[in-house]
Amino acid sequence: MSIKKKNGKGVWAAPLLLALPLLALLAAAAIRYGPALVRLINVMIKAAVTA
Amino acid sequence: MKKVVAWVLAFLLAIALALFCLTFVFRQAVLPGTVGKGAKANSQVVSAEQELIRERVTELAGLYGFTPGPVIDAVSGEALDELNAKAALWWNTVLTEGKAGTRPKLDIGMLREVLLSDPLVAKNEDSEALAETAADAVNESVVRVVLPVRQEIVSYGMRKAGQKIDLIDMMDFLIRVPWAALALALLLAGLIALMESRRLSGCLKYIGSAMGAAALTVVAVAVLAALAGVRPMIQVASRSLAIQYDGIRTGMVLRTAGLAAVLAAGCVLCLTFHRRSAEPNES
Repeated sequence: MSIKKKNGKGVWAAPLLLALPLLALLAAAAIRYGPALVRLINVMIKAAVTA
Repeated sequence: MKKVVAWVLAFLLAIALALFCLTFVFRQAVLPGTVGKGAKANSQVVSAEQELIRERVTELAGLYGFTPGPVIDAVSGEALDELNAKAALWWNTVLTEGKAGTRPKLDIGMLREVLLSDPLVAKNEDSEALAETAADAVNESVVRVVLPVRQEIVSYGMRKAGQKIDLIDMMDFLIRVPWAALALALLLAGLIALMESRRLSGCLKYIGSAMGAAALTVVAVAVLAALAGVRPMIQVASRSLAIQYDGIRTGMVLRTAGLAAVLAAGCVLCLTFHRRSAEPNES
């Protein structure tokens, strides 16, 4: 007789599902602040660095 | 309800692990500059600097009229190592005291001697003045390769930033964050283990998922950082800074990849163990 249990295949999706909120937050922050941050870094480099 | 709490703890564990990895990579990049007399220059960086110095001294030789060979020999090897050590000390002062340190310089007297012994310089009417001017120009050019920053701007920026925040305390805090994040991660993993104390496989499901989520987050942050395109900006602004940045970036990429791989391996191990124990049993 075999006792059927949940085979646990869906568990592989768990890390992705758990990371989704963090990835969404990162994407939102990158879209919202990314261009401004890149511009700021560019200005700082140009101001503080000698050729 | 218990499952919801366990997943919330796993989510927090993922954040703590990702925070540990990212701050650890930052710490390892910054730490050498805060300890003792600063970081020792990487040999690859030094040889790339030597190549750049060779180009610049050759250009200056054309401009001032001296033989580049002896000057290049004089500023390579030990002199460059010593100059890199002084530049590291300059960064050390910036990172630990929040102000620009003493600008490094070559032994100008030695450079002048080398230039005066050059027949091209010696045959000039005012060889002393030419040697003096050329030595200063070579010194300025070489120092710019090793420390390609405008000190006045950096000092002003540090002073202004220092009025708003305590930079030294902040740096001290940032260096300690990885260990705090790791301690928090261990605490959260312990809580999950306590909650699932009856079933080891259940506990591994949450911890493994958190490790996988942290690995994905770390990789995502690394990809975003790569997409920001800081390297081309630095390359345009200063070739010598690009050389130094490459040395730091290689270490950061390797550490990030290593930590993400460890987390991913932990995730696969935990979830495989969990799945095996959840597979149908035959009796």
